Amino acid sequence: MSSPDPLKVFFEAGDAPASDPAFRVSVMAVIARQRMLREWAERFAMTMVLIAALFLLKPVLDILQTSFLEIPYEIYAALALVAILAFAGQYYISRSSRFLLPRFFQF
Amino acid sequence: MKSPMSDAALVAAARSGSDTAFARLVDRYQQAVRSFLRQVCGHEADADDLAQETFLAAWSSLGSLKDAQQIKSWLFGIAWRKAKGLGRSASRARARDTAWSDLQDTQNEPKTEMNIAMKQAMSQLSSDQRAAIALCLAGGWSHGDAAQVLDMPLGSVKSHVSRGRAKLVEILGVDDEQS
Repeated sequence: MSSPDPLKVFFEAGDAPASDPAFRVSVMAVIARQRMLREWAERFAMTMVLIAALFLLKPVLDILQTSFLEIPYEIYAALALVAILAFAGQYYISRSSRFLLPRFFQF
Repeated sequence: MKSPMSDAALVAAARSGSDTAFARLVDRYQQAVRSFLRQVCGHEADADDLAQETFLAAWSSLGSLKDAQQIKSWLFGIAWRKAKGLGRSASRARARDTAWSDLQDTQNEPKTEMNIAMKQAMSQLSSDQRAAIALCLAGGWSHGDAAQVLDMPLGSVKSHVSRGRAKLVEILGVDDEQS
């Protein structure tokens, strides 16, 4: 049987503790901060994409706007009522409204 | 009694977004990674900062880990690359505040004489030698595994361990029956 390395005891004197909840907490806090920054970056990027898309679609939206003005307001009221009922029904079934928003805009 | 989850299971859970699983991986490997970095850096605060960066980098790139069973060597590889980077960037800062940090060390951290002696002895070695020694002698890694982690030829690792060990034995004045 070989004798233990005499240097081993010197190395062990400088070892980190076997259990260190404070270190784990500090790592997980940094990770949480990193995740939050990423999510904000994603949301910002998505918002920019939406703004760019709206800007590019502006000529089409202008045309739609003028043609919508010619439609009687009762039609809009009926559409709004249907939308509200659909949202309410979906909420009642799922007991959650999170699905209504894209993932990037969920808090 | 509940058996501990395997590395592969924890990695899979962490990849799917479980912070609890990743925290358990941190618990499992923090001592090994921090001890390795302490041997390589010689400065506990820097080593712990690097260990934190290592785990953050691991969390960010967990998807690139091919074999979940190899997570230990993967973490050590990240830690070694971080330590080399710190060696390059921190040498100027270290020269500036060595006196202050040494004073802080002796005042704030109770250390055994052996630890202080080993730190002083390790500081006489090159960073490659320290890393090879920390893995093979302190951590009990095989030369082959250490070569893979440190991205060095096997012969270099063997040489670093052999020469570094001889130097440590000489500086520390220990009885060495192995050489």
